[in-house]
Amino acid sequence: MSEQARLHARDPGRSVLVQAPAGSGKTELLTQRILALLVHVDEPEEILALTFTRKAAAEMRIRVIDALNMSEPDAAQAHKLETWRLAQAALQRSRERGWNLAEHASRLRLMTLDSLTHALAAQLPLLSGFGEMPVAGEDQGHTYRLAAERALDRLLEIDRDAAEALLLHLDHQAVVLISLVADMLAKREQWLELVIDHARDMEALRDTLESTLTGLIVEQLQSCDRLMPIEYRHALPPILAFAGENRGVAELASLSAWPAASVESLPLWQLIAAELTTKDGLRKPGGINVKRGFPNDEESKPLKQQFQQILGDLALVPGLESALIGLQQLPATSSYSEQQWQLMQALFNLLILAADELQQQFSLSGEADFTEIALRALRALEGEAGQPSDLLLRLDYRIHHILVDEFQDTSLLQMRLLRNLTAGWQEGDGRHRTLFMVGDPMQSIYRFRKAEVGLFLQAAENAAALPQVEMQSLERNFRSAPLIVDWVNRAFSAIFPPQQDAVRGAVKHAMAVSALTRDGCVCLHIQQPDEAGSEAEDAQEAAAITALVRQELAADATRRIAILARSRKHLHAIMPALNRAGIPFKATKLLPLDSCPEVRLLRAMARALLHPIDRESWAALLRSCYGGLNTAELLLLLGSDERPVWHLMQEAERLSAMEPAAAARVASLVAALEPCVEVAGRVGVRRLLESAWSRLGLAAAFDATAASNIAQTLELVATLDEGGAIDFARFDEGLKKLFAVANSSAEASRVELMTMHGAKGLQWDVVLLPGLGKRGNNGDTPLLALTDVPAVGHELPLLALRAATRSDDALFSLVNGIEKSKYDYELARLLYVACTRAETSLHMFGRVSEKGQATSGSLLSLLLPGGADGGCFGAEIIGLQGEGATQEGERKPLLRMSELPELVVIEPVPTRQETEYLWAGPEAAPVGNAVHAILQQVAEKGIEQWSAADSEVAGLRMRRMLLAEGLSGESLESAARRCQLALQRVLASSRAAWLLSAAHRESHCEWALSSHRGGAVANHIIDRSFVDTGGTRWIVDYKTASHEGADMEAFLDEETKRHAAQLERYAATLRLLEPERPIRLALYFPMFDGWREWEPAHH
Amino acid sequence: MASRFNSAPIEGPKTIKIKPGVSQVSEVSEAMQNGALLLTATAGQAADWKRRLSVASGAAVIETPAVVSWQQWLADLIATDLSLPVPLNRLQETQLWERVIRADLPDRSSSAASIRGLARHAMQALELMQEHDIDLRELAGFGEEAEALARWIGGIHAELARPTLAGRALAAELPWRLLPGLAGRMEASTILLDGFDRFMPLQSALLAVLQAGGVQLLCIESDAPPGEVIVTACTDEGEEVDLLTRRIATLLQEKPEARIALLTGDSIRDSEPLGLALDRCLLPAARHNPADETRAVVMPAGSLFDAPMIRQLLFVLGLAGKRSLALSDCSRLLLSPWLKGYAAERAGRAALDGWLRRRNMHHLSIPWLLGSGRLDGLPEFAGALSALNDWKVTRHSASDWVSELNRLLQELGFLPSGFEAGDLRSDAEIRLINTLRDQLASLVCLDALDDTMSWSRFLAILRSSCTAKPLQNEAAFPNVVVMPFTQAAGLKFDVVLLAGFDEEAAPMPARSLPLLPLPLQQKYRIRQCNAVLAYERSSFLWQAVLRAAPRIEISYARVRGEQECRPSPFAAGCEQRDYLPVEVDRGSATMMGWPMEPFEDAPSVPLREGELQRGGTAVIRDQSACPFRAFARHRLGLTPLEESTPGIEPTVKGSLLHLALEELWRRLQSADRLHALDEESERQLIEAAIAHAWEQGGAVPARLQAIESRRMRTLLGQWLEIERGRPPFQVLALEEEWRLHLPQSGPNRFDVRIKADRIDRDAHGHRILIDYKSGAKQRIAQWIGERIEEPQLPLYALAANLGHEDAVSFASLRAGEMGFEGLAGEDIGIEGIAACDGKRNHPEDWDAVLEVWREKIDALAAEFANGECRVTPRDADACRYCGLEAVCRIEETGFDLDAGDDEA
Ligand code: SF4
Repeated sequence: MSEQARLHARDPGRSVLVQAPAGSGKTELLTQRILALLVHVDEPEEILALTFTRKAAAEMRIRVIDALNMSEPDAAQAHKLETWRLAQAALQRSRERGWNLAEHASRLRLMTLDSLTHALAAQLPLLSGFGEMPVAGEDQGHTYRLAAERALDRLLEIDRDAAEALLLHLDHQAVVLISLVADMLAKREQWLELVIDHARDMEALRDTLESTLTGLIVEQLQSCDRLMPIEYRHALPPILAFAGENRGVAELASLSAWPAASVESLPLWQLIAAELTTKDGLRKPGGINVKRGFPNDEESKPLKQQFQQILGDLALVPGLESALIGLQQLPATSSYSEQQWQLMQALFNLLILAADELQQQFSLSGEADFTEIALRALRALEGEAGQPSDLLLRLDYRIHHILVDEFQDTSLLQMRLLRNLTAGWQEGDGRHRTLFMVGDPMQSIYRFRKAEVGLFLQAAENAAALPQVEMQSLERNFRSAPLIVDWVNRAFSAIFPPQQDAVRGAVKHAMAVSALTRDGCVCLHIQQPDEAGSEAEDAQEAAAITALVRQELAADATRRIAILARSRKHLHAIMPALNRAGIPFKATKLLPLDSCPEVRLLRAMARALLHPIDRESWAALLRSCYGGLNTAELLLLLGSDERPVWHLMQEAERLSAMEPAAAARVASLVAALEPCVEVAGRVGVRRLLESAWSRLGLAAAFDATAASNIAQTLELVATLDEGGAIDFARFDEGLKKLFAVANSSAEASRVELMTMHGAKGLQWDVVLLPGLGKRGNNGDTPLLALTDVPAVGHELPLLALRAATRSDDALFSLVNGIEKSKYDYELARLLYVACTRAETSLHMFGRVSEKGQATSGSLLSLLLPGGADGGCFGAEIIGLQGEGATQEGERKPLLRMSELPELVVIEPVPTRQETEYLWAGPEAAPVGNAVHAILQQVAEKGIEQWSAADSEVAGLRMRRMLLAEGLSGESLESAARRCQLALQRVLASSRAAWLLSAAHRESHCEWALSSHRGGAVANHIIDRSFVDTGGTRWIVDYKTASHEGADMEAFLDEETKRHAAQLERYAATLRLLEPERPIRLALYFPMFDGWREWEPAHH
Repeated sequence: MASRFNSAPIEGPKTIKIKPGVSQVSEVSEAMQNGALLLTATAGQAADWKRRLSVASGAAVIETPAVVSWQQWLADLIATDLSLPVPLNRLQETQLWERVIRADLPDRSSSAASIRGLARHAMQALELMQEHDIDLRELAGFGEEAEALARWIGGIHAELARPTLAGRALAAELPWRLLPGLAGRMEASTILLDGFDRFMPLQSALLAVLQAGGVQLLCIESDAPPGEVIVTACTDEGEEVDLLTRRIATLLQEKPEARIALLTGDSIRDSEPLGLALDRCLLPAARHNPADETRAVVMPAGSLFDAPMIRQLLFVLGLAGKRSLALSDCSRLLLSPWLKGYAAERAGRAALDGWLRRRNMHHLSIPWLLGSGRLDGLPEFAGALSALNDWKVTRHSASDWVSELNRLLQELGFLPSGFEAGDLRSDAEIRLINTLRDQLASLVCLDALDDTMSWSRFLAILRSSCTAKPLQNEAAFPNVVVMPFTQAAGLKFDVVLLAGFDEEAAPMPARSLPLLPLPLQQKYRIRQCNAVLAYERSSFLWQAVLRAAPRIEISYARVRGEQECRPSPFAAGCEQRDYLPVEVDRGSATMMGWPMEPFEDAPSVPLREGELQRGGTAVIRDQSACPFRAFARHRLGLTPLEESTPGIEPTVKGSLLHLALEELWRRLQSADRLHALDEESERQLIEAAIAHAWEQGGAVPARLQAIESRRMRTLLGQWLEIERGRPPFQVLALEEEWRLHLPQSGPNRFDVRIKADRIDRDAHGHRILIDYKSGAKQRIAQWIGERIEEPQLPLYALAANLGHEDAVSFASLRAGEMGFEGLAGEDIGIEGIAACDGKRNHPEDWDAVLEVWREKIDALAAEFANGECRVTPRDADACRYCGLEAVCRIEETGFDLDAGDDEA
């Protein structure tokens, strides 16, 4: 069956959706399909394979290229034969069509969805509205918040009532409202277009939302209706009417038939459900008595017995109980109350403003999130009329075959893109086109990255508005031992829901068949509560895990082991235990940078240097391993004085009151940081911190891991630098998302620690799952419930605001309940992913209560539905013994440098070389250039030969030059006048008559010389040079500065001083060319016929 | 042999014949001495030829050879042809495009950035159309984007036809007009060509004219054999950086003046990490000097905008003409070292920032700040702020803005106002400010477009011109250059290191340009618009690199980011080896070796007489949470420097409510009076209480006041409802203050001042001490646990000397959680105040509770007074919002307080 499915799946003639469970050889299948498709296309670009990460795209490319470069496999590798055969055919095609495929891997369009949208948007600058492509940045939290804050300010101005209503609804907590809006901006793809489209017609929006609500309610009624056995639909009404009559409940008493599954009958349904259930579940038959309307008399007896009988039977209908309870929680009507709607409208108005502000922020910063890029690309593709295919064609995106990997992780936006890409694919247009999607809905665990598993389920039903696909399922598992595969089959067919549900993201289990024969084991290690508290429990678990790891490694040192937890916090106790046991390990993304001591110190250093009055941060430096002050010394230094710490550190009396050693440390700190304090704010922050860090010699005080943590932190600092300062709020936010680097040695990679989410796509010999008994942190109830409901060809958002701060209501619960179900179902899938990582051994660990129950909300509660006594689907259950070492009482002493590193003294910079020039207005430079050019012409021709006609042409040239340099209007005219004047002065000058004469020997104008020393070449241009009759080489530079008024001499002196160095350089250059010739230097000022000459310095 | 590819033959235009003439430098040299002109494809190549010829000459100085890049050659020809119009400069042209595009877009809201981008694309498209001789009409029928381009080009021509722009033209459109007179203007009889992989139609046409006019065209074809190639594979990018820095250090050691090129493949998107590693390795001493901005080697040019001074200058200008400031902006202004008078006023400015933060002035009005008296000690800052405040943002011509801005920058201190400007700027800073002035002055060219413009537009233009202005760093080793692989064609070095040379780097992927329809690009074979052209271009570059040096050392990282990489197929036949890093693997936990010693970090420091000025309940609360915290907060005076938050702070809301309730009960005094209130008088009472609160309470932006008043109204109404449900009572005291002298015995005692919000007495004589809480709800467990978390009520009980009959309670005033939460000796009939009866986890004996409280408070006070200050938090929760982690170094003691989120 599986083989057949594989064959179908890679058949380039079919469009398929493949469900490929863990270990079923999905990558091989994708590779084969790409190879097979290559034979059928005109250009490799016609195939588009979409992955979710760049890593996956690169991997896929390598797989294909490797296949193309593969040599014929021998008999032992028969399973590769098929791939080789397909590759050979593809190569043949490549040769025929001159693709150079094996050498030009980028011709294979294997990319992430994000890079595809980016490319599309970049290609359409006008339609996407981007003009210039922004930098795509994932972490835009601060931008969302800024936009939200500004939007709220605007709303307060333009619609006070709305702003007020919203703020008061949230107990006037502006910060809460802002973060709510910021969250909404982060997922604006869900609501933005709908809300904007209805900005002018909110009533229509209300209708849309309410009809979606109605749909949801009806759907629940219908499923309840379906579950209720037909015979009881007839039997129950008279029984309930009887009870209603006896209890004087008119609505019940008048019940004559089973109600229809429509919203109008909802109250009736709820009434019936209330008769059949209590809050704990279906009524026990014993609870049917006179209070319930069945007096203890003969008349009632048959009905009562019948009712009891029915209740007993109903308990056997799977799903009915929860459906009935669910019904009672439905809101009484599917419409928003007036007050709710007012608030929703106010919120929509705020959201529209916020979206607008967000655009502005993006365009100011030149950054945007991926959502923005995708939305704009889609907007460009869809155009006004929404006819995407032409545009793609014009862009030369002749995509005929699309492959999508990890299809279970598709988000709403990505689905929309896919619909767009395939929208023009009509049947029978002569083109052969295929769509291939592969994934495993059972492994959909990325809701936090916007994955919507419901989309997979819809696509499987061909209800996703994509081209028709065949559904194929792979069953053979090439990864895990049969024992594990069987256990997983047993456990997860019970743990996963029995029915698929696209709305709530419910996926049922699909059976796998092991293709292997090796031995395996599945164990659940159960821990009883420890009186000493949870820390002792963690320690015990850590000890057991360490022992197990040691045992596994002892049995086979090449064994690869993973320790996977739901939350990285759950692994914290295990790391020190492994360290103590001397077992190296690789901890991926477990230790957040912001809690690493060296990073805390660096942060304090940044704050201290950038903010003189940040006492806390200065105190941190003083108490650091460099400052090394204890509390007594700190008190002497800082006690009862509020002046800036930097000031106090330099006060002699204070220091003299301290222990000499401590005072010396403070003095060293001052001396070391002084140059940094001096330039703080004037240089890049990274540079500032790096120098401070090395001046204090801190690199040597920490270990190598710390060094890479510091490097990462500085990297972050550099990206946040706003010109000598950083925004610390953003810095802190950034730090939270960074993690200490993992030990990357080969030894350490045998034991890996990571979260279950991080383990997706990986596999190990042995997998250990600690902390299954712990509860996750499934968060507070949000203030706003937002979910999306699949409809044909698109998804509809649904929103509800919570009734008020710290309270609840039914409509909100309905909407939020959908999100909650999605969460719960995904949690079970997370466990599935974790368990299916194991090849040979799977060890699970968890704590139960004294009664053997697992904490609700924990993963263990899924594994032990009937408590510890009920077993774990046949896994071996082992009681956890022994004790672990807690860290209690092990407080480590703080360390400081025994001796401080020697202070590095900075040599003062020699004399100043650069001069700040006096600004003479925007015309000065153009005039200077024009005059230079004309003097060159005059000298080249020889001033003696210069005619009036020459002056006229020169005037024209100068004007052109001034124009080209950007002058216009009045400033052009005045500049031109100045040039003319200069020319007239020059022509009338006796000095110029000599200087610009054609009579000189070896004369040059704008003389370009190149000198070189040690491979480096310098180019110089000398305005005017010649050899006079006395054999002296003149070097003259024109200076076009003007001077009016008195003190001409002082001005010329100043100018000479300013330019002497430059002329000396020329002299030195010429000396190389003409070593023997005497040289004289001069400055000529054509604007007023000024002159200065001097003998060059002898070096 | 390094490659399997042969050098691609130069594809000359059909009409001209270019001889593959000279091949060696000496031949080139000779030709040039005979008056030949050397034209290169890029400016970089021209500069390199000048260098090579100069070095080859053997002389220390020579006349600069006549080498010029194609672009420069054209520009010179155009500039000196008096019959041609004068081209608009780049900035003028950009603005003209932007104007045309802005007018054309239906949706006026398009952002400035987007229009800027479209203008850039359009200019580029037009240049290519000119180079490839593509007729405007060919754009028809290719959809919206191409049609827009055609419209915009038309729009530009219409603009150029206006009288104000008479005699001007677009630079890209002029070269074709050189054709008629070109042959006559050439002085050189021979032109050498180098670095062209093919000639565009425009180039062919110009060259053909020259050839027809008798100019000999020769193409330089290097006959140098390709260099020796070796490929090194590194584990990851960090290792590759390591390899490259070590290698360059060695090469420089062997030959300090060696010309080394470090060429980066496309997969190295940012060469900065490489630059930093080189700085560290080659200039170890410079790391100690924060002011030394010299880099080790020549890096790709940055932008003027990225220099801290310029960033700050533009930031400050962004505030000009504004009436109000966000606090974060105000902080930046206060701490900007270039703002006039910083050195003298630094401390005062920092202190002002602290004050504004404490007051949570999230937004502040500049006129208010100027008039507040807060700037009294900061005259220079006040001056700068007024200059910003007085800035007029009405429309001006560009040249007026330029001169106005010059004046403003002098007033702000960024520009010196004369030669004698006193502050000492570094050379680099002077260069920056000179460059900025030039950029600023260049904006007068916008006058030619006869526009006045708004301040924000002018500022945006200044900002983008600063961004566009490249800023080349100074290098200690100017002979070592880092540049993209794609820019190195035609250059020569002693050694080439080619880094990141993986599949992504070469062959390059096809890349097309926006606006110009792709089919047109393909028809005219523009750049790398399809895979075949991209492959050709890549091969050309690869061949060029092979001949760039006698030795080419290629490297790549096997894993980059998280991506697995393979070497470029171009390097497939070359010798390969693995890099063996010298150092121990990164990430292992070995100490770097500086000798360290343990020290007693927190000895007890008994409180001195009179040391503690103000002590409140916080002292005891902090001592209970963590002795070090109490010490740091209350004795060292370490208070956090908070960021401001929008809206009213919770503490302000809380104290407003307190004030209102105080007033309310001052007027009411008893339950009877409360019961007697009718609706109207209750309303009036509440209004009066709120009015009172505002009179006493803090400064809150006016528009938020009304909202907060509404909230208070609701809350107070609800609260009175709760009070109505109580048995009869009288108010005994309001805001009663006590001063406790703690601990009760011992040498070091200190005062704790506390104030009870209210004490009531009920009909049975029970005293009920009430403390209003507007924050999160308190659980009784928090004040009766082993280490008291919330010592407020115990302290009150102690101060008020409460006894068996009395009760203490919080009154929670939080919406949705209103009610009492307290303890009493017996049931006093108030919901939420539990009797100590041992049921439901309540304590059994109220007297015992009071006694324990007394002892515990006393013990904590004694601890504090004795100076017990060890870093021993009660639990990880105590540290959660503490903020002193960097000071106490809690993690280093082995305490785990990772407060990360759960899952993923
Ligand atoms: S962070 Fe924790 S240990 Fe450090 S001072 Fe604060 S409460 Fe004490």
